[in-house]
Amino acid sequence: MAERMAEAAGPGQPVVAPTTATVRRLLGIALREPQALPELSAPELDLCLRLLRRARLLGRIESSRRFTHPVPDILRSARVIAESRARVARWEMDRLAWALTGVDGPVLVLKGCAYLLLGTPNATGRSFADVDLLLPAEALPAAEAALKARGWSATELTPYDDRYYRDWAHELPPMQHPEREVEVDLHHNIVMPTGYLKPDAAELIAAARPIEGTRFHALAPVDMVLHAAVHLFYGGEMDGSLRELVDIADLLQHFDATEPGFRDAFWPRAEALGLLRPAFYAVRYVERLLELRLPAALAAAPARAAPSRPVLALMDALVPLALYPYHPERRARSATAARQALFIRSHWVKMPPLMLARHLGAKTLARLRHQMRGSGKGEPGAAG
Amino acid sequence: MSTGLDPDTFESRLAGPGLGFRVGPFDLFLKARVKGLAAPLARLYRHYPVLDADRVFSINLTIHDVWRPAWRDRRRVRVLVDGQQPHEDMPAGQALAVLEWAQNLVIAMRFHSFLMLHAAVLERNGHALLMPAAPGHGKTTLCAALALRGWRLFSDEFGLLRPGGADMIPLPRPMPLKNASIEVIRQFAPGVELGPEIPGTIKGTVAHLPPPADSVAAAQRTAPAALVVFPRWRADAPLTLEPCHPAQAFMELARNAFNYELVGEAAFQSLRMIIDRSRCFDLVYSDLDEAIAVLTRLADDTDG
Amino acid sequence: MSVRWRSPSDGRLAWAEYGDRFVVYHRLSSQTHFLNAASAMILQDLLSQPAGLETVHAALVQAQTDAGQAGADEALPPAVLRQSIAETLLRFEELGLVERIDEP
Repeated sequence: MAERMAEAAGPGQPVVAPTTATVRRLLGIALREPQALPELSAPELDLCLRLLRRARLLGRIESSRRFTHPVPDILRSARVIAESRARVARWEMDRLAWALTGVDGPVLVLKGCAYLLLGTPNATGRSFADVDLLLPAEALPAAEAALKARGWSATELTPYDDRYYRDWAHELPPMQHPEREVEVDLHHNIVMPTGYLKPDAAELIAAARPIEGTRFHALAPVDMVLHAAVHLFYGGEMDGSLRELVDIADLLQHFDATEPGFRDAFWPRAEALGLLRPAFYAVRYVERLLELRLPAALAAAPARAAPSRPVLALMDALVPLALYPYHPERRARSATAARQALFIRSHWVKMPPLMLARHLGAKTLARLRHQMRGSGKGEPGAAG
Repeated sequence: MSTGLDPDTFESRLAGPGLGFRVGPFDLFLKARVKGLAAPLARLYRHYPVLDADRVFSINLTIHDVWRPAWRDRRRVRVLVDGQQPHEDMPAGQALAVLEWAQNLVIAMRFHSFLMLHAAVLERNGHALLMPAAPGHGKTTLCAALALRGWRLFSDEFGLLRPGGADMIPLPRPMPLKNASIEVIRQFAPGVELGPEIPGTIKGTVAHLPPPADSVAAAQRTAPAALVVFPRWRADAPLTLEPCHPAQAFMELARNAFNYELVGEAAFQSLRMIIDRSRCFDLVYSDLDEAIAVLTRLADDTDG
Repeated sequence: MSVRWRSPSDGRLAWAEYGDRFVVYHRLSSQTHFLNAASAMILQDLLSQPAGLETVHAALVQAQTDAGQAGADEALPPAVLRQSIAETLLRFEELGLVERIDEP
């Protein structure tokens, strides 16, 4: 895992060492003391902004008169994108509420949409992509029908993928209204039923709280944090997931400050839902990678939450590499390998190994057939 | 060659630590390690102020050769923006065109502090002329011709403005002439200097017209929108200039924008201001000089 | 059951008027819509109070008469006009420009 040397500088050319340590230092300043950013040297600030963009955290930084050209435009542009996506997400939820008026029972919004509707601190400047809804399994057919009646349609999938979603994944195939470019995912649990983690969806829904002024519910605070942890460590992709770790940190601090009893309820609830392991990783890496001191009651994980020593050592080595964006001037082979290793691992955790071989095999076969037919559309490259 | 830099220094800086350029409102940092690219690039960029590297840049872009021995003669170039590829590798012979299009891509995807209309913009007599048009209607050719006849070039592609206002912002860059337009402009302005002809691109053969020196020199000076003209070149057509309904013009401007909906209400307000302050026309022409004459008259007749 | 619709008075729309054509910006959705005079009239005037299809139809017929619209493309036969209004109301509802009020 040797890192490549810095390039030779030109005359009078200031150089910021393209090391992992630099990446972490600069991102740490941006996350913990953003008011210090205008004091960075210009090359450091340039690098910092590029890293923030890669990590999808650029929208968090407030512009100010202390920044000089072209920084205000860079920050304002990121904010405009985030505001636009927030508007789009709110509007999609407005239309979903309209479409689902006839459907009984709670409808939970998950992740970014929940943060947006609740106004949690991490919602500012955050980019949303899809709308994720959680409903009781028995309500899904009525919800799907209601959306179709109002114009949403399911994404076209191969029969294999369609079955993957319905039987194995915890969601219906994604739906989209043709006039808006927003994917709507209807889930009946937060983790795949064939996976190793099996939280009780009914428990999550029973504890959900209505979001005032809306038709929707949100997960209870501890459950919301646990969901973010599950999604980060067991979700299947970890590229640029530093943003999700930051979400978890923000939520932990926010709920600890505003939710009476939050810190004492955290570990018992994690245990009750069978989510001790993701909770363990969340707390560990929030403290270690983001250098945050959490209150003792939160930081002190029960011993049974930890994985075996070898697994922990592996995770300690891989997670930082996977979460942090690599320096834009270097191609860190180690980071890519780390991400791939974690991707395979989290897929294994989602689906028992036998099923995994079949799943990956079938997808590979389908892809191969597609390519051999010369339709010309290969896999997307390492594109941003 | 480029301001203060001899060709060898330009090439070695570009291939080594990189070079910074001020291009309108954007500070571009470029590293290029592509055989044969430095010399034509130096000529096309020669009027841009060169910036020292001790600053924050709007865009950091790298383009370099990629050798694939298995493909024998198919040398490719790769563009990297902040370490990521925005598109697949392209044939090396198209490097100059690819570099210009990559900048378009980054600008359009990133800089939403601006409202970005898909339009050619030029200034005359203190008034900005906007020419939104779908591709293939001859907008770039007409834009190039106007620039060669003394109109100040803002852009052949991006109508930039601050959301909420109606003042156009220059972004003078090389203008990519395509296919038959190359010869048209050679005839129109004998002896005009163009970049190399690049065959085989997705748009055919492309050659770039460098941005005029005084357009680049004046790039920090904005101008209020005053004329919106939808040009359409049609072979042998007599020139017609018809007023365009303002609601129609509004709709076309909105449809021909890179980020109208993304910018939100301030974009709506900007278009409202542009339409309120501008005369709007549909123009059909076959002769460049006639089109230029009519546009020049419009600009000179505009009050304020 | 009778259905009525209403334009919410929450300032969700910004208007630009150009003679007989209107451009309206819908703040909540960030969408921009281009309307002719009849649609604009429905949205701006006729639904400022809750109104159903019959009310809107009658008002537009009256407006056509007042404007002396003979032979203009806005002067549709009543049945076609009614159908067109019904579609417009449903479309406005789908776009979130107006709200539906169902009454038993």
